[in-house]
Amino acid sequence: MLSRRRTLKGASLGLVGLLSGCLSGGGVTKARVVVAGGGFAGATCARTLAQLGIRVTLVEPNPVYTACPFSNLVISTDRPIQAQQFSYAGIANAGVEVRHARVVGVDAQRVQLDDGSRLDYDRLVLAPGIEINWDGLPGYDQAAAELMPHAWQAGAQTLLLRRQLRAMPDGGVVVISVPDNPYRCPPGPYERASLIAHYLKAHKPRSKVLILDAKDRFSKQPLFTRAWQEQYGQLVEWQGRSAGAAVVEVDAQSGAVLTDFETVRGDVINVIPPQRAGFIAQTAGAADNSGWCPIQAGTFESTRLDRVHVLGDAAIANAMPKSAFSANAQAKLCAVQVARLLADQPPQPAKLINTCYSLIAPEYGISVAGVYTAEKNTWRSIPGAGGISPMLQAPAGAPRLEAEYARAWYATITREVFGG
Amino acid sequence: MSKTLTVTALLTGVVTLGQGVFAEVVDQRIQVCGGCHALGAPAGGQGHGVDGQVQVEKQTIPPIGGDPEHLYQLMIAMKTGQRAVTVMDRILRGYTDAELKEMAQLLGALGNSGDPGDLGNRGSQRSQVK
Repeated sequence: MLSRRRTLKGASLGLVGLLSGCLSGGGVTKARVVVAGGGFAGATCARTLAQLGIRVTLVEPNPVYTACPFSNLVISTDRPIQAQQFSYAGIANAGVEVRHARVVGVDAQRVQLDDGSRLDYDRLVLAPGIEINWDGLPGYDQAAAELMPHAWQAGAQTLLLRRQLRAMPDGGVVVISVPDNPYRCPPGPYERASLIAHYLKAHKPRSKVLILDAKDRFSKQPLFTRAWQEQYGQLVEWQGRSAGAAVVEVDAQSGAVLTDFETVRGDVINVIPPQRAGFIAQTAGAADNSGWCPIQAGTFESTRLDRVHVLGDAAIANAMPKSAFSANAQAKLCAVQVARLLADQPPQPAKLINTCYSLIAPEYGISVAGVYTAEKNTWRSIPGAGGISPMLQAPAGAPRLEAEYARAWYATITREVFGG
Repeated sequence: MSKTLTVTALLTGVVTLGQGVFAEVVDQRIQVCGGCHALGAPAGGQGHGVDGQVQVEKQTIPPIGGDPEHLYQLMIAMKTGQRAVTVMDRILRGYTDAELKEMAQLLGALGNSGDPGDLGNRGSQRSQVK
């Protein structure tokens, strides 16, 4: 039942009927949850909230979602971009009110949309994903991104990089600039390098992929390094921060990136730039000086804004990586916690999992997994669990199986989130 | 959680909120399994693209369901390395045996007819979807 405190809060929001619409006895409520952002985090959360019988509005500007996982195959193989795209019809059919608009403002009671309307909320879930930090890398602005695509938000940028790769002559150099942590999809740049090498090996074998990394260590590093040697030999070269490889400036007009020591030219330059939590997280004040959003681990409630939760790539979830799998897992748990908080029930603890597959080649997969628990307000990795695919004593055929599982994961998760 | 509510949860595999029972949402302890495995529904394999295009992808990750004791034994075998798998050993090591027993009960109660079989080491076989 709703407590007096809750009822008073409701009254102060100008919402009537909260008491009669409480969560007990059948799960019907007048309380409204607004979810801003319809990616893996937001769409999952909205859908789960609807299943819980909660009135939920999903605000997402794009009528079609273009998913990032597997988009590296769009760049490097004949996989169509349509295989990455999902409408919101299934989510609407699941009982979510879908509004195709942009959230432009947030206060303690309501969100402001760019179509001029406002939505009152009892709880707000921010799932804006990332935005490119255009101040984070000198020379890299929106115009530069049309010459040196980031392709780190799937869609037109993905197709641009694909076209550039196909237009490149044999013998060309593909430069991939990788940022320091944290950023969306930690192993993604290295999967991209692998799959571009796969394309080059077949079509432009005198070419090369050069990775300029702002880090010295990266996700699944032993697996990638071994696989590159085995599969691609001289086709892939990785240089880390200690080698002075961090890109500190780009010159889009001349087709070059600058490190502290040299100017590196590329025939195709893929700049994966520094990122931060998406626009609305910045505008609402949910992000701190790091550009990302601190949360209470167990409930994903913002530590900065009352009755606001932050999910997915935008959130600081500590040991949990910024992945679609993490976003989906967080969102389902968050929906339960939101429902419980609306019903004045204590949040329930639960462990979460992340499993990230990467493709070395279309039939060669590797993975990293983790199991996480919210302790002392931090998502911690459970010692002894998780880790990368075994380097030794892997089951026979494991790389091919992991590639199959990667595809199966994508099919399942996109069906769970966008299906129907 | 009271004994009554625990029993309810075990029987239905749904989230219980006080007196309210919310159908269709699996217990938060097993929600995360649904990131890869179909829970309480036929296995995936059908995408939902725009422009009416349906993408069918190979589905080799089995749905989870069936007899809780069988599920539990399977999970223990994978956790301890008695059964060769690709990733489930790494994941199951994050859970105590008691937690796995509880999860097997919840998963078994979802009513899925799919048998997970050898999770992870028979990739060439397709799980049967009823």
